[in-house]
Amino acid sequence: MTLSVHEVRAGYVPDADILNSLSITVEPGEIVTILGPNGSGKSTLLKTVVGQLRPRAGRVVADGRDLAGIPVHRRIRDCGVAYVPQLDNIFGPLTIRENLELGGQFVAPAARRARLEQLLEHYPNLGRKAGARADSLSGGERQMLALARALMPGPRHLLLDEPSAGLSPLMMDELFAHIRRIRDREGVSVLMVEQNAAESLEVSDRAYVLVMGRVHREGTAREILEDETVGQLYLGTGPVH
Amino acid sequence: MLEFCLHVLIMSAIFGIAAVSLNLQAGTGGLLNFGQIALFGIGAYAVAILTRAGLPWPAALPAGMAAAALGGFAIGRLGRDLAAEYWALATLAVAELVRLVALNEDWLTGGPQGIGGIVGLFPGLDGVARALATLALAALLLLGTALMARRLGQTQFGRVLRLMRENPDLATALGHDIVACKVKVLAIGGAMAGLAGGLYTLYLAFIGPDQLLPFETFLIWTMVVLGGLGNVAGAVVGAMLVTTLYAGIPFLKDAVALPSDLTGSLRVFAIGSIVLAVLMLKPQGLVPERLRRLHAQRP
Ligand SMILES: Nc1ncnc2c1ncn2[C@@H]1O[C@H](COP(=O)(O)OP(=O)(O)OP(=O)(O)O)[C@@H](O)[C@H]1O
Ligand SMILES: [Mg+2]
Repeated sequence: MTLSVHEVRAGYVPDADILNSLSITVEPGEIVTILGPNGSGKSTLLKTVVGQLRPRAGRVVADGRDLAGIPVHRRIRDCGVAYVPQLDNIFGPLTIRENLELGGQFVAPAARRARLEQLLEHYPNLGRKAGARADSLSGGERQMLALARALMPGPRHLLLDEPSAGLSPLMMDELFAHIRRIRDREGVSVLMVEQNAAESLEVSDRAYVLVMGRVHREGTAREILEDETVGQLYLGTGPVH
Repeated sequence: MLEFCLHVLIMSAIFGIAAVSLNLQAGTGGLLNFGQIALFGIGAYAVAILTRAGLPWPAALPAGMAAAALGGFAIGRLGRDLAAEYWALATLAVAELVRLVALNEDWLTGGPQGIGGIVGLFPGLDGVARALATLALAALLLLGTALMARRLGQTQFGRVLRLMRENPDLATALGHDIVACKVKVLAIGGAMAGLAGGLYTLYLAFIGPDQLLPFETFLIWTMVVLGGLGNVAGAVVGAMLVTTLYAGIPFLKDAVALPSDLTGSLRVFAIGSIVLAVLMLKPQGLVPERLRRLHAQRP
């Protein structure tokens, strides 16, 4: 139940690698945060894991299975890899219920209905508005909807791209606490990209810092939180030279 | 005059079916099919060839639909790895290919002369009675097609199609096989377009390669865009409007004594102007897509 990326090189145009021999590992049930400046390749890493981008070298392995050659739409179904993209991650014109259904298309109908009701109970805010259009939700509720939808098929690995982007500090704390609850309840491992370093590290087990498509620093969440260069880069707490 | 009106209504119903088909592909699924007339043409020729061989129309029509569905399937498979814009160009090329086959394979298609002398619909009736019966059949089939398209839009498949149109990356990440969806919607759209083509052949008792010019695809697109992409009723309204205009201009020519070589250009000009006007005044088309009714706030 491990998700790992081995020495991966990937990019959008020929000869320009955005990821340079990048390796990361997410152990079962772990929450791992990816930090890094804008353009360092964080989203690119997640796109490579879900298969939207094909690695030029290296391997992506989930639960012992090499994902090369498995098309994007089979990765959730066959490999339990769920992905919540950074932008446009809900379908506004549809209702909340319909959005959730879109996430569980290939689950058997009875199981899907049961799962949907269960998730609506876990997310009372969504449950109350199950018939409303998704674009009537607030920013925080939208993230919750995207998360809940990713959970529909019962994934083993959850990839989240900046789940706290644009949320108020209060909502942000709630969201991170929620991510932790999901991990505890569902037993999924979580790989999330974040800009809000301090808050996300608070709920994480481990973290990587990406710079220019390479792992610049890695360690437990505590180590990274106390790391001076990371502090300088993200937290505004490190010593200024 | 009555016969002219009936003719316009019958043609509206036939092209309405073709427009509903295109609307399903392009409006709901976001697939820029610029070869719609090929699917129409495959159905039209299949029905012509089969009725010429002695098959009665109630059997030839479904066979024509099946042939066109197969054509749609092939077009969908063909460019499955192409980006949307390149696929759109490929469909245009496929349509020209189909027309060239119709033009050159004389043994099968009658070549430039096309296939005429087909035993049409309701051979036992004459004149107005026959036109009325044809209109009833065409209208019924249009209604059936439109209801089916609308129903399809409301199913999970329809929602996946719309997600595929708006956000294909999200659709695949959620586990939807968008290539399979694309092929499926083209096959369904193909069957519908084939039905329209078959009816066209049976009604006019003729089909020829000139009916498969790219301009015809443009006309069907015009109907859909005028009516409002994504809305079934819009496609029907658009088809009526364009067909009436298209058939009405020669009529106008007689009334004001225009030279007949002008009518062709006048048609294109009139249709182009109307499209421009509608798009400027109502960019969503006359009957815009309604994804969800306004009372959607109910829990
Ligand atoms: N679709 C694309 N085509 C070409 N280049 C891209 C594409 N997406 C991203 N890039 C480039 O790849 C690099 C890494 O982008 P990426 O989105 O992975 O960064 P990021 O770390 O997620 O940044 P941010 O914090 O802004 O989200 C950037 O230089 C970016 O310009
Ligand atoms: Mg990013």
